[in-house]
Amino acid sequence: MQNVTKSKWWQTMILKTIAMVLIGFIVFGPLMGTLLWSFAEKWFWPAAFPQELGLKYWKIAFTGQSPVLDSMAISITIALIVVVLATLISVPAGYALARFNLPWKRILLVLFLMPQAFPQLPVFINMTSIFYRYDLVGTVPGVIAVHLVISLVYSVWITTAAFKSIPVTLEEAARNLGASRLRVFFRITLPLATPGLIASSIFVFITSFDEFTGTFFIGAPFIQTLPTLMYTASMGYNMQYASVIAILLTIPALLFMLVLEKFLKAEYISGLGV
Amino acid sequence: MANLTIRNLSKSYGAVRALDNVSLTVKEGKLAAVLGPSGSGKSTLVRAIAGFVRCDSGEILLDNRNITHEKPELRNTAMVFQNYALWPHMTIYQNIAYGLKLRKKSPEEIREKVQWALELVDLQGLEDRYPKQTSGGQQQRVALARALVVDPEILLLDEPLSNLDAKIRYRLRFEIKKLQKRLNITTIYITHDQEEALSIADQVILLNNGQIQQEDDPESIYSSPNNPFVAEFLGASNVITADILEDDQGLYVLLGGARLPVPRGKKPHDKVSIIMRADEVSQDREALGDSSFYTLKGRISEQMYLGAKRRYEVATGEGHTLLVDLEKRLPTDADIELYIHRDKLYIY
Repeated sequence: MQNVTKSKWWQTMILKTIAMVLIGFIVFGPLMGTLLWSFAEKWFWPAAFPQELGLKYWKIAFTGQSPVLDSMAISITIALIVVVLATLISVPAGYALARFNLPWKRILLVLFLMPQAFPQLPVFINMTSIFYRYDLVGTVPGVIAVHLVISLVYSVWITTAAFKSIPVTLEEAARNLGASRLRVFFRITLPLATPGLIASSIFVFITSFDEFTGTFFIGAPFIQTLPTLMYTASMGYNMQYASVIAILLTIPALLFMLVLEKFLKAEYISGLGV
Repeated sequence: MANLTIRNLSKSYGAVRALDNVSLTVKEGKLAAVLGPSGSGKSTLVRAIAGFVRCDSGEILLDNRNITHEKPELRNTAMVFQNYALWPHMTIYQNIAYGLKLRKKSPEEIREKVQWALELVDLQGLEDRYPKQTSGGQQQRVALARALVVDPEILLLDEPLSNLDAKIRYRLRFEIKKLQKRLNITTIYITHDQEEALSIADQVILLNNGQIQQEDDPESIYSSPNNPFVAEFLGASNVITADILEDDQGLYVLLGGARLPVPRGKKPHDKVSIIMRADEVSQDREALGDSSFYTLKGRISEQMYLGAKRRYEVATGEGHTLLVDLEKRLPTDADIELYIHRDKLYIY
């Protein structure tokens, strides 16, 4: 009897281990390749591993005339500004879309979806020609504007969903006890929507941080964000250099995953399930 | 605490009339149960009093204060929602204290009042929990405490017990009643449960399709329903449609061989509704004394054991089926004679 359960336990353990290894390989496999490349000083075909490992390219990336740090600073600045602007737009927009019966609601939601609904290149080429007229090409505000257009889709939709998930009766109960509309919004609605707003901000940040096509059309060559820099580097067949930048690009995503998880465990997100 | 007066209140949603010329008065300190099936307008009524529904016409008064166009936050009504609507990001204490904070009470007064409210609903010791960490019955009491702590002029309960299981519902029903009497607070109690309404209310208002069908004290509304809808909604088990017959003595209908009178204004070959409760018939002629009664004859076609009594299906000679509750055990297919008070048979 005990032997049977024990062998069963082993079977499930082995299956689980195989599954974990497979998942790990699918998730981390490509990243491992990049990681290896970033440390490879010599890696010639057909060797499975680099012949020489070292920090040479990391040093190159972070010292001297290297544009990596500047690009990183510009990428982070742009991403943060986009997050702030997207939140400022999507909080009122999301609240209105979630709570009021706007006559043009559907059209509005589709409008926000537009930039993503068409093939991106024609959209960006059109935007470039428009931005030329207002002298926005090759400027930070121009790049911010492109990122904003792209990320508002996520931002508005996630924020709308966050507000929608809060039962109206929670707001009514507060008004019933004497709170004005504005007070209800800041004391009841906004705190309850915070987990959704944070999720949306993280999405927007990563979208902006990783954005390439729009940045390339509007910003290049004057504004070099990390993705456009990586493109330039890999065009020069400098795999190591490009890999270093690729890893820098994934770090914020990983960090935010941790933050997101912390917030998902926070006390009051349980309230979203009410 | 105040008298509530509603005059000619109407509200339409498109073609649906949620409230149709509703007028009623609830005296200070009374509990009025608003009873009706879903979609009858009872929720619209209570939301109109709270200010969440803007009415098309009519007015709402608390004593002499016209609150028809007042903002919800200025009405001083307190509502207990069906889903309790407790704020999940605040503790029980913070939930109850919020209304007092909005009223700019001093910290000491808030602490005292919250303590009073917690004792009132028997929830001492749960102050620091979050709503999610309490049971459904406890959440219901928190909602009640949160409403009562602000000394509202009127308490609005929107199906407050419908999310609880039967046992807790039964107990809380009487607790609410006791509290209401103790605080002497004018209360509107929305429910779709006729037993709940009858057992708790000073005054029952029965709504259907946005119109008041009848408004009376529980015993009167139960014993003398205005119309078939009221009778059926308050638990009459027999609603029989019968054809009007005519002979040289006038119009009549037949039920179990008994000749029943026809309400005025009916014509031959019209239909009437006969309404009868299952437990108001008897086999014992003596028990009815010398009051006037009808004798109904039929044959038992089916029976069901209900514990304290048995429910019989009785087929009458005219092809109607009556449901009757009797204590005595009788064989199926037996012929049976039943007696019922004349005023316990409602004919419309």
